[in-house]
Amino acid sequence: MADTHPDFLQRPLLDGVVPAEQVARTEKRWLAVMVGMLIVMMAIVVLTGVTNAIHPPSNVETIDPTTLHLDGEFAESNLGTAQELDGSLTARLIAEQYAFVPECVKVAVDTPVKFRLTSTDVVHGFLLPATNVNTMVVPGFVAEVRTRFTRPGIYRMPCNEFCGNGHHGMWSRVEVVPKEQFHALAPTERLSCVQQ
Amino acid sequence: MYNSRRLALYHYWVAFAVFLPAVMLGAWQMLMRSPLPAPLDDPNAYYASVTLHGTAMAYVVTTFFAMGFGYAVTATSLGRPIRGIIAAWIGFVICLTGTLMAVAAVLSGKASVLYTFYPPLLGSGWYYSGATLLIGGSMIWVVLMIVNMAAWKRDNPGKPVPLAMFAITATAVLWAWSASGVELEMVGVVLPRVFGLTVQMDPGLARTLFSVTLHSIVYFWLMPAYIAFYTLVPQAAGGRLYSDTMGRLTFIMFLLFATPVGIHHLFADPEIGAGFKFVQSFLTFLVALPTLLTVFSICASLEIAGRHRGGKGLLGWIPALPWDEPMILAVGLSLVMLGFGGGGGLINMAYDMNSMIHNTSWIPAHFHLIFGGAIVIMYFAIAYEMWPRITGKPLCSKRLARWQLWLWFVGMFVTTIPWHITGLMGQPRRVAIFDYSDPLLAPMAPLVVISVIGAFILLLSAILLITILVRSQLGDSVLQAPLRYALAVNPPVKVPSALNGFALWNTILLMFMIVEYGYPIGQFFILKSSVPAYEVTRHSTAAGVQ
Amino acid sequence: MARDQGAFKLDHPWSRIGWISFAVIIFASYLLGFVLLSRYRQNDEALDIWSAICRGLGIAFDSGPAASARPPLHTPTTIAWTQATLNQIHAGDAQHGGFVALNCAACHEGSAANPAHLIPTLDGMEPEVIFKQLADYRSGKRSWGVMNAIAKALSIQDSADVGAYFASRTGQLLPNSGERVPQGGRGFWQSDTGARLVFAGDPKRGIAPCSACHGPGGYKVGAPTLAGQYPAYIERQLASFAQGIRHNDIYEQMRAIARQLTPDEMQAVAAFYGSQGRQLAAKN
Repeated sequence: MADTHPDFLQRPLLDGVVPAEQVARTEKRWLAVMVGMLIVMMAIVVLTGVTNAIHPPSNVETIDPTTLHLDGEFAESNLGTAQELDGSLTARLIAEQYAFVPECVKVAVDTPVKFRLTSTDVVHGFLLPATNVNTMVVPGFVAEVRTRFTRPGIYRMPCNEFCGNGHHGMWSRVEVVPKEQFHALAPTERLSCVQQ
Repeated sequence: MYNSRRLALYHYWVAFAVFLPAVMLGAWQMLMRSPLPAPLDDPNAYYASVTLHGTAMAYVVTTFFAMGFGYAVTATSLGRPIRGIIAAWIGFVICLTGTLMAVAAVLSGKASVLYTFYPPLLGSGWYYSGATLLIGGSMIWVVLMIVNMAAWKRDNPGKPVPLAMFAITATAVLWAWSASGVELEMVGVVLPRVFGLTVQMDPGLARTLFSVTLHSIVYFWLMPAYIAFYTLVPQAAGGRLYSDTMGRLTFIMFLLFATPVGIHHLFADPEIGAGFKFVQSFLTFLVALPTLLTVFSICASLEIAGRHRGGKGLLGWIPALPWDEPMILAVGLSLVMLGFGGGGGLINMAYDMNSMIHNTSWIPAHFHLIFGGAIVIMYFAIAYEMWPRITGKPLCSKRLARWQLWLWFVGMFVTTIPWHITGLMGQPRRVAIFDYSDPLLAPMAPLVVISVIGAFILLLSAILLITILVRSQLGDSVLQAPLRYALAVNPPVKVPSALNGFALWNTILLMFMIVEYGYPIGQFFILKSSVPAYEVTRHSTAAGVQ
Repeated sequence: MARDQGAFKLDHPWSRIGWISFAVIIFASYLLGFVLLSRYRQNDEALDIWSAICRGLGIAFDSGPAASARPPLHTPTTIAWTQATLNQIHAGDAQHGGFVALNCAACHEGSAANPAHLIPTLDGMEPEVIFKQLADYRSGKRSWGVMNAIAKALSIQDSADVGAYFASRTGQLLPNSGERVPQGGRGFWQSDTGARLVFAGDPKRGIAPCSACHGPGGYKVGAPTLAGQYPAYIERQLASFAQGIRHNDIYEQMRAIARQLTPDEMQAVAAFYGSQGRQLAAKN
């Protein structure tokens, strides 16, 4: 590295080419600007969290994954879309190697929807592209995520967490239909768009 | 280089010998998941390959490189032989043994669990044991860094520890904190199940413990590159380091803020509440601070060098820099990649924006750009500095080295930019094959093909790297100038003890960890969330079935 | 290293900076995270502070499952893969099972009673599979001809023993280890329908690759190995699942897949697996 240097490097830089006070001053100014920028970004996160109530999932509920199909909230007969008394929808799904059950979920547009999922075996991921629905489904826990679809259509639903050798085959879908096409559900009625 | 020569060289060669096959696997993986036909298009091969590529790049290459660099820095910056050289070699053997165990297990197809392990998926015990040995063995290196720095301070009372040594010891201490998460996960959750001591595993506890490692490990990876920024780059430019104090503060801030932020990898997980997710998101904003400060300091240092070389005007110092030096070219390319990759990171850390891109292709695109790009390119530059000093032979061709760096830069952008975009479009990650006739995936197809082209450019660059290193090592012998670290503009005569050691900062970090992780980890001892393990291959317990 | 530093002494400037920063960061982040942000929920009113803190920890949730009314319960099977069940299965006595299984051979082995091969071969089948199917026959969750009566005549321990016996036998079924040697032609470029569905599946229709559970190269408890099984039996079962006649698969795993398959695809998959058996397993 020292072999081929032009002559200006024969005049080495002396100590103090920039005075220490100036160095400290410029560094402190930059620090202030950077901290300010980070505070602004954090404030935006906090503000949108308060005004739009945007949060990551926050309920720590445990459940036994081995007996889900025998009874309880996630028994086969209770899966699918249910309607609450206030008109909102709750969609219950199971994630397992290698499918979401029911593999076609039907909900209405412009309605609060709460997804509740759990896994019977390993960790899966529940993703609806172009929405805020993106959660891990961990066996032993119930995952809950709330959203509101603003556009009708068919939303493809891949599993986005490696779950084993069949992971690439684990795709399902959510059908969001206009409110007119979505009839009100009785309290014990469960809806899905799986073809019989 | 005193007694560190062979030690550093052996560590570097393990790192780079694993690096090239891992890049080959990566290129094949990009081809496999694209619309184009690929050889050996078997999804099982893909998942094994992802496991191997991830293990190699995330654990093997990085750990061996950091250890080799650490030994070289210790000897050269302190100007004396390393203490504990036998322990260092024992550590090398342990790490190498662990590596071979893990690699063999994955190649046998019995451990396709990915390098993040994904409990309650369970693979071969050889894989987990190998990883545990590799990471545990590197703790010997950590102890040696601390011991050598302490010994130097004892022999030089009141004098400031050279910045390079201070920084590599900070790196080592951080690695110890970071590795505690994965080692506790292995020893506490996974290995007991592997050896049949427990019947079930707690995935919530395992994931939370692993999150302790998951973010801090990337700082373990990037600190050697930052050491190069602060101590090698200004020297290579013919200038001085703008501020020694800021250098020390940067590494202290990394030590403090890199570990208690891991839960931002669990934003979408059901086992942690939003309160702790926010608290750790807040801290994650702070860990961006040292990088932002570094960019300023390094640009200031380069400006000093540029002006000293005759650069005039507001930006005239930039062309005046010696761009023909691989180290300078690397830092320029690295800062560009750091800008893009870091910007992506700022999106990931905001816990509301994170839900758009969590576990989509955006994530691997981000970390390939920031780590595979900005950081690894500095690893190359460090290698180009170290090889002549270790082997006593010059680099066979600086021109070839510059080509290699440019190819890596271009390849990385061509690979990762389309990859970011497909992530925003919702492409899931870690998927072996996609049906591109699906209407959601069809628009992604051309982007994925562009990424494949980038991947093969990267492969070419990796082959070139190994070629350069081998040819340099086998070349003719010429005496090389010893490694010299950059002097600061105002070299410190005395620094406060808080900037010359880590006791204060370790104590504060301990308090951070208790406050940030105490409840999230502690809750699992109350929750009953253990579940059966799911073995990726069948370990038959019935007689007669092989 | 610690001798010249008083880590807890606030009179050193850096010590002061460090600890005060720590306190400010912790206080601010906790206040924002637990007290401010946790109060606001989408579509709900703001909470009081104590509930907000509990919400932030994730321990107070109003989405309790018990509240809403549920449809009448129906279950596909009485078997759950709990540790207790698995222990019972793996404690099966193969020798006693062989004695019990003397009666099974007539249909499950002899071709005189099984000319169309609609009765499956069991030699080499997983013990968990046999145990569960016998339990389902016993409880009526699955029905076929004489199998219900036969299963009722067997005790639970007998089922475990029979399972152990058949698992120890060697026949045309290729036991599924969950491993396979990687080979090309197992992606979406594969033109043979059967092989493509077995290794790549069809994600557009939500069909996972068969091999991911049934092997080769994948494993799931309760999924029988299919390599070497009679194609006619496989095809018949897929059709039964598709029509809902057979419905003892947990969470409709097989029904959901079978409903999507065309009859030609069922035949292709069955033929592929039939050709992968032990005698014909030249290079698998």
